[in-house]
Amino acid sequence: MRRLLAALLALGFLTPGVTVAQRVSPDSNSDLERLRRGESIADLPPADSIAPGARTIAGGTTVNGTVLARGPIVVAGRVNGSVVSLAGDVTVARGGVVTGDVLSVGGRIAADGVVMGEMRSMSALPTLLAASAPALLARTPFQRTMDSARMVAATFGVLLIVAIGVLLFAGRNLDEVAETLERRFARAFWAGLLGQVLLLPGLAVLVVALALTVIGVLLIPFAIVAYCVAVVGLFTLGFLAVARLVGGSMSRDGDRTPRYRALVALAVGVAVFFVLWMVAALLAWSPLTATVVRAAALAMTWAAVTLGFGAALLSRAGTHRRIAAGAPRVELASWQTPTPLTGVVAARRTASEVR
Amino acid sequence: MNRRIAVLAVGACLIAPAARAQGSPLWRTVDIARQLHDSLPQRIRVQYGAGRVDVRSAGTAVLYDMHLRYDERRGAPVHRYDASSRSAVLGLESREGAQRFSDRDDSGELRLALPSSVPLDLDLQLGGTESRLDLGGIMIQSLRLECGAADASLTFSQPNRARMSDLTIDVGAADLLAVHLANANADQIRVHGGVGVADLDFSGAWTRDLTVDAKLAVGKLILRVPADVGVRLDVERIIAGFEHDGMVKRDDAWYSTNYDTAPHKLRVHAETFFGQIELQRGTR
Repeated sequence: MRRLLAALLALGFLTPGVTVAQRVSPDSNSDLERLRRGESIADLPPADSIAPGARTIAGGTTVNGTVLARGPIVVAGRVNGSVVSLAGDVTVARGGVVTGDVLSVGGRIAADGVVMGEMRSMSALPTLLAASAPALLARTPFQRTMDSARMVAATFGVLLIVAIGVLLFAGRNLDEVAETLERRFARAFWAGLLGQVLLLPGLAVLVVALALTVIGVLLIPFAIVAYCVAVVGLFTLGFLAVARLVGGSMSRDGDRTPRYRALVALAVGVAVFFVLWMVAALLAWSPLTATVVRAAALAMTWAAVTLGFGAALLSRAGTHRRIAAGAPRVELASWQTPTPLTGVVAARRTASEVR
Repeated sequence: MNRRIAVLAVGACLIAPAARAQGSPLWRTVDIARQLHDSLPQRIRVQYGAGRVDVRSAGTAVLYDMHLRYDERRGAPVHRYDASSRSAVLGLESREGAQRFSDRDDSGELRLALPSSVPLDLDLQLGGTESRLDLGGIMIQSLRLECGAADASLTFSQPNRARMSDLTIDVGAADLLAVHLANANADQIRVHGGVGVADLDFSGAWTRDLTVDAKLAVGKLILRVPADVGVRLDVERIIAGFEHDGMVKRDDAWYSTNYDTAPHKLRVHAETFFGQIELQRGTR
């Protein structure tokens, strides 16, 4: 049984090699078509007139038209046209003249005589002719799907690495942006929207202001780069804050450390946002469905980014601690208990309640 | 267990042909040459996107002798010659829709031999390539070299027998090493770079004075000048260091102490925004 399976496996890997080999050595008609269209060789003889074996153009003789053979060719005379060997060397001996091109497929060219055109020796005739190239290059649905899925997975991986970095080095800022998002949800959305509208005018104002100070002109390139970095940073911080909130509401790791919980929440949240993108990628074989799902994914991501960007702006990238500090805390500390232990309320508790 | 192996085997049989057919490059090699039938000037343009490039002088009487190794799925050889305008375009052009950047490019190769007996106007447009260009012995009237994002080494191992009116080098984000630039026999050299290191060595056979205009946005510009050549260096820099090896400042420029008495003079206008300009007396 295992031998049979091994044979099957080997067959599976060998079959394409055979297929490829068959593809690169087609019949004479195909070769002639390739020569005509791929190599611009004109005046080709009919396919059935190509004899296998060597061919020699003797000294003192003249051949008009293309000389074509499936073996080596020696030109000692004159050829008013091109010389093509589909499987062998081409030798233009001293005194030999070829007015067109000399072409050898799978062989070499030695020219002591005169070749007015070009000499080309190639490993194989081109398979991708100009007309058929787009069709051959067009990716199959399977390939398109795999490429899209790979792209989404890679982006997810990169964002996850960024998320871990943010959690490690700007954890407090992330907390603050998430807190702002919880407290000022609607305001964060509108702030995000307005922020997006004002991005370019803001940059223009910055550049003009620097230009007006004369000495600040030198700083303009740096300012542009810094502005772009800041904007990308705010978008990323905001999106990760949204992802953390979403992930936090879905994950159940109450007994773990806060950092672990935050990490899991971030990973789950980012994954949630990528699920739709991945679905769209896996539907790439069906362009219409993929477009619809992709549009939904885009809308969801845009909403999250806008919300996050607004929260990042409102909390000044998480450095404005007053928003969270000013809000009433809902959570009770772990040592507190909702059961009244003293006072009138405690005294009114029944014996069964106390028990 | 056996059932699982069977499923795997069937899966492999189904996937392997598809994966191999779709993903594998179609490597081809082609040698293209054209005989030289006269000694009139010619124009040659070379375009090549990614891979290794090697250009040198041909030993035989050919106008060009090009060896290409390329992935047929991604590129097609270019070899056009117009006899009326005496100009050739050689290299590889990308196929429409083919992915431009991939590790497959690493195995691509262009080797080009150019004639030594014909005056040439040479235009080399190289993208992300690792280029080794030895143009020594080739008669070059003008040379334009464009490099994208890779290493380029330009050498004039032998003096140019033609007078070069202009040598222009445009480098993107690449490291450029130019050796024996005096052998280029050029009236002026222009080097414009984006990001990287430009190492210019002016050794070789000096036949006339030379003017150099070197601009590098970000990076290091190294000028190596033989001790017997007089140097005038006019530097414009914004946030850049400047190392001048025994130069003296006169007016707005830096001069070597032998500038007035030297048989040949090198006048350099160097600009850099961020980085360093370094002048070294002596050669590599």
